Amino acid sequence: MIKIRVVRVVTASIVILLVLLGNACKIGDGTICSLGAWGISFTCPLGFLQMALASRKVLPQLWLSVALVLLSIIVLGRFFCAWVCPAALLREVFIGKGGLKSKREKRKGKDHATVRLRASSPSSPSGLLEPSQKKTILMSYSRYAVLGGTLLSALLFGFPVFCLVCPVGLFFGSLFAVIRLFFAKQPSLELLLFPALLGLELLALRSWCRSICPLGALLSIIGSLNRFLRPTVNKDKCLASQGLPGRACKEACPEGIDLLNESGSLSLKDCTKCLECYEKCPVKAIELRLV
Amino acid sequence: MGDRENEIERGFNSPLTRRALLGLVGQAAIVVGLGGFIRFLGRKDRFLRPPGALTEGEFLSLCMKCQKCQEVCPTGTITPVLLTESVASVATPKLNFRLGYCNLCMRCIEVCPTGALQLTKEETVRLGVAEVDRERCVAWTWGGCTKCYQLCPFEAVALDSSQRPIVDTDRCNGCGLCEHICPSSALRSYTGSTGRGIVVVPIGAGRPRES
Repeated sequence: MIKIRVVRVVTASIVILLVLLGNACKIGDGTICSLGAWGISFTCPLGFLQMALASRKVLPQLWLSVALVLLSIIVLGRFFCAWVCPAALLREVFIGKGGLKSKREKRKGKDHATVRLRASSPSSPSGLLEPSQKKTILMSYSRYAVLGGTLLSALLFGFPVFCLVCPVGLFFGSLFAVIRLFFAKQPSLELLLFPALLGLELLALRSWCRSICPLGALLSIIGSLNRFLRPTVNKDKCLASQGLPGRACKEACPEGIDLLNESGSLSLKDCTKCLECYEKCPVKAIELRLV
Repeated sequence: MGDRENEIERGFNSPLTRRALLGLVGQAAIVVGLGGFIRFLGRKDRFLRPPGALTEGEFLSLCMKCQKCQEVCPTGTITPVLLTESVASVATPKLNFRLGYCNLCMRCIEVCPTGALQLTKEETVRLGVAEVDRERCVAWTWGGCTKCYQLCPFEAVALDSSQRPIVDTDRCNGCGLCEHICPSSALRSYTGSTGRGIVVVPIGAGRPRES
């Protein structure tokens, strides 16, 4: 049985290969910022918003390609974050097994989980939020704050500010710097600085995806439109629903979503469809409903 | 249990305390500040942009650095602005006439998704304007070379009475062929010179054009 994580890494790698192939063949499919050729592209919705604010224009030339992105999010939710984003790929490959969570965070999560099991049975909804839940929710708010700052900054200073530090852009910038080094014999400072900044974002600020990334925040907002392929718990099979210990799905979720108690955690709009919960559930109680 | 419900009603349950809210505002302010700082750093940067580029400010507001124009350029002239050249414009396209010249095929305009490059007629394109560097130009220092005069597709290089090149700024559209083929850096390489005897500069960045 191939692990879902491996499938995700392969998918993200294929997208990167497509970009490189298009580059080598001079097709002009661009990077993920606006991926596509022959008039049909998927344009980054955050890039679009920033450019619209920066130029104070409505940019009808981009509506089709942004509509394609919206459509894909309605169908597949925030899949970009788990299946396409090169930053997520780097985290899965280099930060290791369990991917998006750091080891320390994971250990802490486990402690909390056991404490919670003893304190309250998960099926009884307690109105009060626990500190760990508050922290998770605050982290997600923090992404929206960065998103707001990003858009305001674009409006005030007239250029897409976040694009300069976007991990996706930095990843491809690094890649193209390497290509320039080998094919055009042009070494540049980018070779060092882009990977360094990328590493700083992903390693030093470990919670980049969960508490900083404004693109993820925007995708979460649009993700609330998603109604397809949402993971749902089959209460008849679920161990926790029967009062038994075991919350593998909650621990596996890199976004901190609690499928059994959505009110006390982040909601499914943040779901990246990474399928970790689906894979980790020991009794296969998580179903992916098509509608 | 009564206390708990009370707490929920009075909003103590919200994670959004005053302190947390201040933190969030602070985070947004940092991002805004970063934008302002980078804008300040790049306030004087000017580059030779691909054909059809909007004015520098408008261009920067619309360029999403997707690299499409750089990919399709058949002469390999469009390259990214490097970090050492400008932080604000990094990865945006510029014309590097050392690598090639612009044959005005306009493919970069075709693939630009955002309209940062917009359709223009070949006759009205102005990428920049060529300037002779009299310190480096072989004809101006030694004499004999008339490469740019011979090859300029727009007859924008004239020769003065001593057979030295002079740019006709009205005819020059900045295609960069003269800079690309200028042999100055090769002929003078023993002096350590790497510059060309004729270079295209962004309009407005060099000498002001006489109108």
